[in-house]
Amino acid sequence: MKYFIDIARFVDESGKSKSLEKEFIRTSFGNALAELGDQENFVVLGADLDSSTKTIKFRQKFGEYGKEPFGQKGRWVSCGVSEAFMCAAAGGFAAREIKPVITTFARFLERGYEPLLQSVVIPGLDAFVLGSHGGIATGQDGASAQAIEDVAFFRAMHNVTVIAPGDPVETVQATKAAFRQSGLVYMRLSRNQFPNLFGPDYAFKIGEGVELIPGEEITLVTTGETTLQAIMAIAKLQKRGLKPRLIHMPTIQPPDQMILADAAKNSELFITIEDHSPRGGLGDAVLEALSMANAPRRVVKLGVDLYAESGTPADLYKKYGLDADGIAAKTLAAVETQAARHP
Amino acid sequence: MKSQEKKRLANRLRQIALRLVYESQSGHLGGSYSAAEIYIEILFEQLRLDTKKPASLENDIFVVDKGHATPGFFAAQHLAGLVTEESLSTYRRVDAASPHGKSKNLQGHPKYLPQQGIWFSTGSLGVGISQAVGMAIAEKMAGRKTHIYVLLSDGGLQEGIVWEAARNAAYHKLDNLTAVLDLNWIQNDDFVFKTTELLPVRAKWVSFGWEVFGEEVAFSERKPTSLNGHDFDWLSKSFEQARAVKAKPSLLIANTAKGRGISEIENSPEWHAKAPSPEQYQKWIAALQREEQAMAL
Repeated sequence: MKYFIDIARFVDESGKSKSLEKEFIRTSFGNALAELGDQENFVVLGADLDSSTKTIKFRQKFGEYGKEPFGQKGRWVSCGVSEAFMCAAAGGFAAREIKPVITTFARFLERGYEPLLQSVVIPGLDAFVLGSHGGIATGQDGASAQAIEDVAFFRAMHNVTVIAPGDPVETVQATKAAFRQSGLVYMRLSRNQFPNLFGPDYAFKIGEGVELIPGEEITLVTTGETTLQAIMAIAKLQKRGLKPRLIHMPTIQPPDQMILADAAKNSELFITIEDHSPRGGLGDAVLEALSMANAPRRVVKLGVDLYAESGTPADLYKKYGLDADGIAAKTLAAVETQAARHP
Repeated sequence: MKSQEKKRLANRLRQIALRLVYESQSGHLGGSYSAAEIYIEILFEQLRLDTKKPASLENDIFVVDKGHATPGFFAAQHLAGLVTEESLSTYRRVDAASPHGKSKNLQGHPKYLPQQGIWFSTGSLGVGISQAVGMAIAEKMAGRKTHIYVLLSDGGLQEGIVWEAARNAAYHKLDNLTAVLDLNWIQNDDFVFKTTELLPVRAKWVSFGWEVFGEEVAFSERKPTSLNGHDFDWLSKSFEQARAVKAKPSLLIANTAKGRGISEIENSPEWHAKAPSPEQYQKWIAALQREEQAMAL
């Protein structure tokens, strides 16, 4: 779909990012979950991170299983710091027709990968998995908490939907959509605060990419946190006379093949930008989709191909080239080599 | 049901399990035989189950964590009327006609199929008891009076996830959950104590907050009378006591002999997962049939 945004809303004339109202998308998720609890039959499984994953609101509203005043009607279930168990126990709830919502840091879900596969995915049951703190944007906790392979893990499983929303509005809509989706839905959230990219007229759909900025010759494809960075990078690139298109891809699996094939009609170069390993994530999803659409193009994958360190998210993005300057510089470099190849 | 009838059923189970492993030339006989009496006791005496409605949410649930022991499990499910003869014949075979990924054939390890009373997917040790804990909480949330039984293996207790599940079950006061440990002291490679130390067993579970019935007998100290896991009277009595426990999950420690029922394979690590030759099959099936005929007299 097309949902054109005004770059001037995010960047001033000198190219500096504007100060905008922001919200933690974890909070957007937590609010949506607490609201959905009135309409849907689900439990929330927690592993000692309810304030970090913002499931605390649901916990307070619907009660903790086994604790007063809700007793056995409490719908937030404490699993302790036992992610492997939590992921397997989810299959027990799903088998008995109560949808499980598994919540923890994206990094620690990796420990539950095989139990989840055995207990939910192979039997073909439904579950919603929330991985917060995706990518190096997790910041100062360092490499142990910065999940950069989680999307690859989940994308490799059959019948799994992977979503990484890019703003608070989309996070709320994606959370609701996840409950209408069968199979396993993995939603990856960044730890950080985001301004609204979308207004109330936006309508998220699983599997649909969003063209945010029209353009030609170059297409930038982003997901989650990197979309905002790419908007600011495009402001810089426009000053250099380039007109890159921006496609935000909130659903990484399955990727939107149509929107990419359309973009390929006037783009020779694609740049994918993700706060994740360049193997198995958005970049590979775009490569596969272009190939399957019989629209092979040069794809330059930007991502995190190492284990980073502690630092503020902004400092880490700067160092590892995922901020506006880094994206702009790497795009320009790719354009130069492209020109050398096709003079 | 009288013990004599259950003994006959356990013999029938052993015959069917032998046939399944022989015909598919693969599968786990030793651990099916050590659990034969446990299977029969749970399916015929303990489970409150409408076999005409296997997928009913009102039925009690039996989760086999030691998912490799399917020859015995599917044989027991067949005897109980949950798995048809036709379905048994699909064991470990490809269903070429079914849509990709949608085969309903019986796999080497159980896959979720409520229509045949299978509410779990196992084969990777420790995920079964974890699923059972999730189910036990779900049952209490839904206000159902169902009870959940779980069959554990001794080698399986080496999985860390089992202890995560054990702690969670006690914390959540799951008195609708009864596990039984098939303590035959043999795992895939070798004897359990030659793989890694398991003792103490009872003390571990007690310290995790479980009510425990029975006690482990070290392999070297076992006598014929130690094998309570093949004794229907002990199993019946202990399951009944476990069902009456309040605010705690329960565990039965069943001392068993791997391969029990065929002397050539009893207590032999070689027979964890091995298929018999035609000669072995003919000899052993004949012996089991003679035993069945003797019971009928």
